[in-house]
This record gives sequence, structure tokens and C-alpha cells, in this order.
Amino acid sequence: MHMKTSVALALLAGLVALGPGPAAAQPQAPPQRAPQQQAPPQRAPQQQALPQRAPQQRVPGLQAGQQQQAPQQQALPQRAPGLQAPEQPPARAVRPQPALPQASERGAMMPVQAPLKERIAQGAHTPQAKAGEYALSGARGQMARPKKDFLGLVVFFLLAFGCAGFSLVMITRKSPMMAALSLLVVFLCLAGLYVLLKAPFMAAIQLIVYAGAVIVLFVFVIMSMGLQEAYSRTQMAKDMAYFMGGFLLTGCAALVAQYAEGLGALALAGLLLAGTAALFVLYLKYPFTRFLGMAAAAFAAMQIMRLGTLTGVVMELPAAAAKDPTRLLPVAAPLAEDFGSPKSVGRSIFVENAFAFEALSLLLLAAIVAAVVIVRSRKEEAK
Amino acid sequence: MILSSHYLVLSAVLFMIGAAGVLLRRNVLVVMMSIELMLNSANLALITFSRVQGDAHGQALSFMVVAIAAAEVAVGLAIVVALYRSRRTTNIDDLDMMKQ
Repeated sequence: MHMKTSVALALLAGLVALGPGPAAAQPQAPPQRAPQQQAPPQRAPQQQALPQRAPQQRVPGLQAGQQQQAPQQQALPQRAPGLQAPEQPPARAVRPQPALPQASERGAMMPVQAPLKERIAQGAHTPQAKAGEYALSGARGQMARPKKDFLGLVVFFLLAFGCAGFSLVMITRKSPMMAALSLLVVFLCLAGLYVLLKAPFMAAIQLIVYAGAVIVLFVFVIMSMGLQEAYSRTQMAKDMAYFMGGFLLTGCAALVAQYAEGLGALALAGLLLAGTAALFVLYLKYPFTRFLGMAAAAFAAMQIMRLGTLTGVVMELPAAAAKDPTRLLPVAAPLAEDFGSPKSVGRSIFVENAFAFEALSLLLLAAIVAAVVIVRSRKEEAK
Repeated sequence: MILSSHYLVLSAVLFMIGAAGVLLRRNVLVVMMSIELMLNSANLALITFSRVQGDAHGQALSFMVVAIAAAEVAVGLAIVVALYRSRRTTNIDDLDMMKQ
């Protein structure tokens, strides 16, 4: 199956790259192997291996050097305008590009897409895709070198503790408005994590749907019920100071445990964590005692998990991953260039999961109708 | 080196906090927010696995989770508003009319 699709793709790639006439698109008789010198010398190996068109379909009398460009120029007017690829710069002749990903970018006419793994194996490298992907993510797509992606790690821990900390804030605040706003921060941090995970499309969706729609809906309902409470500015400043201090201390502890080795580092991390705990106790003593037991339990559970992460997981996992990469996968494994782009996600949603998407649209319609029906007031119903 | 387990631990922590919020809070709105948090932690796990496997299907699935969560919020908030209109409360302990 994969073999078949890849052969079909390669065929299409060859047709597009070599400039087919309309006749060439028809199913060919037993694939005729062109003489090797007919193929432009600097093409990728997969393309050289493909069944090519018979030599008599070529422009006769051209030298091999000219042959490479002439069919391209010939082909352009014959293509549909929508499918037309941007003009390739002459630099293409210097730097050989694999044929398949090129064709898959052009090919709206292509019925099936090559499986991701094949495309990874073929090394789909286009400069545009590379720029688009790496502009958002901090790290390169190669296997991570432990000491090099320090910045990525700092960003991760800041976002992670932002998520965990503000979700704790969310369930400990009495005022629903504070809860909604902390939830907003959690969603923003999650969007940042999605970008780190090379899912910029999902990050955008997260911002639009959650931060833009869901939170606004919550805040709207809270305000319309009049549930918001006065929150003095000094109190807010104190809260913020406590939580920021806690995040910084725990983040430092995590980083120390990640990068330093030995007993001293562990002791330092423990000291920092103790500082966090002290801050938390101080904070809880201060205005809110109502959820003390619950918050303390959640905090203790978190600390236990974090200690496990620090001592066992974070310090030993990288070594274990280096030994057995199938068991523990780094999130910096090489990927296809367009991974996480709207194009690849959209292909998955609209082509391969089209039925689920249609069912989802029905569900959303039902939700809209239900919301309207439920909220409609009694008086309107009586009319 | 950031491993997938980092993200998965974070996802588990978020889910735990969300579950604690659902179980311990009495305000309907905060309970719904905690449900949102749990859905988001599931999304984080999905996207992490999608990243590790290099497969865009995980992201497509999390996209659908987002859509379902939006539908859930729309209907849930409509119910909350309707309840608040008739009972003047958002405390789930007061909403026991099906017991009586």
C-alpha cells in the first residue's frame, strides 16, 4: 500500500517536475525506463529510480543541460492557474531538492498523501517550511543535545509552573472571577507549551477558542450574575508577589536538579523547594483559610510528584532515554517539515477524519440550538 | 533535554488539580472551569504524543476535543444561567431539587 502510493507520488513528481503535456498524465503503458542521461543529473535518487516517460516525448535536440530547464518553461502555461507553483529560482539547479515533498506541495490534484514516516525518511526540506517551523519553536528539529536547549528548558519550566500554579489558584480562589482569570493564564501557558511541542496551529486554536471565546463566556456569565467581588489592588499585588516567588523558586529548584549533579545540588534543590513550601504556608496564613486543608493536600501531592520528577525522573530519564530511545522519547525527535502546520493538521481533519468532523459540526449545531432553547425565558415561551 | 515525560507529568498534575476542583468546589462555575482544565490536560497529553510519534492525527483529535469542550461550555453555561434565574444560586449543594 505504501509502496503503491509512494510510486504514484513519485510518478506525479516526475510529471510535474519534468513538465508533462496533457497526454503524459494519462496512464502509461508499461513504464519505460529512460536512459540514464535523460534524467537531469542533479535530481534526487528516488526520482531517478522512477519509471519515466519515453524519450520521444521529450523535446528533441536539446542538450542535457538545457533539458533541465526547458520542460519547466514549457509546462507552466499548461497547468491550471490554481495549481501553479511559484517560480523556482535558478538556485534550484545548484542545490538538489528531493522530488517528493516538492510535488506534494504543489499537488492539490494528488489523491493520497505519502505517510509521514516516508516523508521523514526522504528528508523533506524546503527552506520556506523550515523557516516557518523554526521561527516559532526555539529548538532545532534534530535530536536534542542536553546542554544546548537550556533556553527551551527554562521556557518549559516557566510555562509548566505557570500552568500548575495558576490552576491551583483557580481552585483555591473564592471569587469565580478570579478563578476565570487564573484559568485564562493557564490557557495562555498551555498555548505556549503547544508552541514548544511544535503545534503552532493548536496553539492558535487554543488562544482563539479558549482565551477568546470560552473565558469571555465565563466572564460574561459571572458579570451578568453579579458574582464578581471587590479585589483590592494591594491584595492583588501581595497575591501576585507570593505566586511569582513560588514559581521562581520551584523553577530554580527544577533547573538545579536538572543540570547540577551530586548531593550539594540535591540539597540546594531541596532548600529551594522548602522555600516554596514556606512561601505557600505564609500565603495561606494570610487572607484565605477556607480552603487550607484542600490546598495543602494538593500542594503536598504536587511536591511529592515534583520531588519524584526531580530526583528520579529528571536526573535518570535522559540517561535511560539515551540507552533505550524507544522507551522514553524526547520531544525533539526529527519531524516532517510541515508537522503541526495548518496544512498537515487540516489534511488530517478534513481528509482522513472527515466523518468525525461532520459529526462534530452536527454536535455544535445541536449545542447552539440547545443553548438558545434552555436560556429562553418563560415569558417568551408563554407567548 | 525536555522529554515527553515532562509534559505527561504536567498533564497528570493539571488533571489532578482539575479533578480536585470538581470534587471540592461548590460553585457551579468553578466546577465547569475545572472540567475545562481537565479537558485541556488531556489535550496536552494528546499533543505530546502527537509530537513524539510525529503524527498529526493527535492534533486533529485535540482539535475535536476543543470543539466538544466549546459545545459543552455553551450548553453548561446556558443551564447555569437558567438555574440562576429560577433559584438565585450557583451553589451545587442548593441544587438538589431532583432529590425532593
